[in-house]
Amino acid sequence: MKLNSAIFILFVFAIPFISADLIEPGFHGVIITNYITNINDFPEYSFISVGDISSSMCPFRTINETGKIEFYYKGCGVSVYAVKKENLNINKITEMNNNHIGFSEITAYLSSINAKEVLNDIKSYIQVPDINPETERTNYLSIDLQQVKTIPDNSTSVLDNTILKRNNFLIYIFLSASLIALVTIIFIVSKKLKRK
Amino acid sequence: MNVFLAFFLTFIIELIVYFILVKEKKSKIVLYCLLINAFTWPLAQITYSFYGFFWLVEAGVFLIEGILISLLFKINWKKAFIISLIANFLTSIFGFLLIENL
Repeated sequence: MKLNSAIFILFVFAIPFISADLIEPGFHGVIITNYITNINDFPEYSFISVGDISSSMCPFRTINETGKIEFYYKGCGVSVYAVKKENLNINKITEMNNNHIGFSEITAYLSSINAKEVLNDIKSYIQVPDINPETERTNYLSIDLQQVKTIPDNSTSVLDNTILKRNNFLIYIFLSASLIALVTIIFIVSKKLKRK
Repeated sequence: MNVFLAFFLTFIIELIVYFILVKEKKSKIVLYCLLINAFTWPLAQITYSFYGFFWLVEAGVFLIEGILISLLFKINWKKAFIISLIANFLTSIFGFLLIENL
């Protein structure tokens, strides 16, 4: 009966699942720079990036020969498109950025110029817990015109040494506590089993 | 939030659940609850902080705590997993409300 009441309470509380098991001390931002490593392998194409919100928040940007994808607001789900050079009209893109068009119009325009999505879900900024010493990240992505990639081929990170040193100490404490608890649990359970 | 306060919060909420749902001496309930959380909480913190995968970590905590509840309190698996689910669900709600009001 008690158990049934408990199950009932559980289903009544339909609230988003964020665990107090994971209440971190705080978060900090990590700036991400993304580079396309083989952009110069496609001389007949231009590459543009755009987000999945409006062009005012996540504007069209062309990617130059360095392959660097410009920084975007964290809420933009950024994609990179390959466009045949003869189809790309820079003035039209500038006009769309200035006119603050919505995502449906962006999609329609990309379709009209036969833009091919080659990279998806490119992030310029993420938040990580303070225990994570990472402060900057550089992602390296290579393009394959036959597929849409989301995962970088390679990444490098800049770590904050102060956080690293503090975290090493904290991690040792955490792991030690965990290990002591586990050993104690094993001892108690083995005693119970011997009594049987 | 201070890490030790966060652990204490988790421990107290789960302890209340154990007191309600487990028929055992209070001293044993306190000890076993402390041991279970001392084992899972630090590992969950480290794993989530470095690798993310929130739901995977949560699922792991739920499973491991269910197993430990069953072994330590000598109750059947079904009841143990239900207790683990309720305990972890309630710590989630409390944590969410606390974060919203800070």
